[in-house]
Amino acid sequence: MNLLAKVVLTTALFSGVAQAGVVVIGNPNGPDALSKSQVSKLYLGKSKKLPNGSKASVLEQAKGNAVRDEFHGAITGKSDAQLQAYWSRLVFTGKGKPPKALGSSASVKNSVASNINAIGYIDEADLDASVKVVFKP
Amino acid sequence: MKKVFTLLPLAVVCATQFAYAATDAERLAKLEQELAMLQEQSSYDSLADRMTINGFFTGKMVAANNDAGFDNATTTPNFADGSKLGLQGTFALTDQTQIVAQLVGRGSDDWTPEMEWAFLSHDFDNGFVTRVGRLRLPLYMYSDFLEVGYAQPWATPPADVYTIAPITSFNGVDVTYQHDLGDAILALQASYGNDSSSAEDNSVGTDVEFSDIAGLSATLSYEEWVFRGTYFQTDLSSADTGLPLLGAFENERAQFIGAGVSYDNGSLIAISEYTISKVEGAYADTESAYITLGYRVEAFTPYVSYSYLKTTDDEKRAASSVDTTLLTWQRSTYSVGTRYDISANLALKLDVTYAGDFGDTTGSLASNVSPAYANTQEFDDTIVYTISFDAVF
Repeated sequence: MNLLAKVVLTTALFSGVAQAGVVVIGNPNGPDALSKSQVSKLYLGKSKKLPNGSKASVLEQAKGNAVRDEFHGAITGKSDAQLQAYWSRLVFTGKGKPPKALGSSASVKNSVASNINAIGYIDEADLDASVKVVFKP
Repeated sequence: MKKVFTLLPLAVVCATQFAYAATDAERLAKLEQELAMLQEQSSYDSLADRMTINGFFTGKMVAANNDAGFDNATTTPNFADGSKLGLQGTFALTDQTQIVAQLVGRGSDDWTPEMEWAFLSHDFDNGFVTRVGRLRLPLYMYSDFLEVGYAQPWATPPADVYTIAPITSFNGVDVTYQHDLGDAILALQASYGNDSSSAEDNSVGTDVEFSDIAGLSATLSYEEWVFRGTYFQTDLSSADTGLPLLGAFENERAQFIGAGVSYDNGSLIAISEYTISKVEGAYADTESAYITLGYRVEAFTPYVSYSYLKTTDDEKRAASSVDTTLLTWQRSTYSVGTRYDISANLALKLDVTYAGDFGDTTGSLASNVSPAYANTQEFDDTIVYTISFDAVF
């Protein structure tokens, strides 16, 4: 194998890792699996509880984050503007508020690792043993 | 690695407490629990988490090709009607109980702030949520966020349907029960209270008391669909209206029935509502409906809308030409417009609305009564142009 081929292969491999895709994560002691509809309902405030009945702590990534766009593209189907319009309907009636947004995948992961009822989403490449995958689009 | 560093200081502080812990795993578990509790405490105690301020703003210009007065538009561009600023504070007393207050200043009111909502809500955590205080009257699908232009596809909600009821809020209590049916969610809302409407705010031109406002609405959400049905009733009382047949209201029963359906798959939007309102005696009973179709293309959401409004008890007013002129209505309205999302919290909307088919009536436009005051209107139709900036923050 010549050098060029190696470079191409390595690049492909790395970019493959970088674009591994978004995964929904939960605490190792939290729910084992959620359906797409369950995740969507939690992220749109339509349901507030995990399958075991405890109140879910739902975590968003910050606006403009690529993994956020990918998550909503796959799960809720809403753009940032549509999400804003959706939540303003609930916020201005006192019926709900959007999930707390955290600044980075690392803080989402840390929060999920330390709260049994938390769910979040990160890029698959950022996964480690402190959390587990509960849904993969 | 990161996790170890985060836990390290805590571990040092708490080390003595865990001196008897048998294994590292147990220690770690205890530490994690401790950390979770600390995080929960700090998030619960921070004022920023318990107090939220949100706001919305609409800057609107309406102008028309004549002075018929649809949407308060005349040939002179009007920047006041429809422009508003709302500020809402939400204060969480506990995890389940919160106080919400919303102040709205309207351009048409010289921007004097008014308390639009002020209520305490309690979530019983079993599907029931109750609210008490000043609440929105949930007659229509968009009633709850009628003021929040950003949350609506239109530049202005269809007037043929949304201007039927003279009040939008009331003082009272409501209970909402939300039930998860798997793929569908059913929400039932029961409301009770009272309110009053001042002469300058209603079409009768006299102060009206609304007592025993009571109603029920049911909303079923299933995938891209939302179905809604609502029934409300109230007793109206008012001093002499000055209209020959109408006279004074003395606990006249008024009823409102509404049905709505909406579909939104992310691209295609379809919304339709149908309403019937009935009032005892000679006051106008109405039937009205609209259908709006929109399609999202990137940041643009062009839409078309059709609506109508007509009175259904015209024979009751036949004996008085004054009553007939003021309270017999007929109108069809066509709109074409677009929403453009400038950013994730600011939208620009452009709209052209044609209202016509008034027949021999004023088209329900108070300013369209002909000077002759006969059974005719001054204008046969009108075209209204609207530009609106809607923001939420």
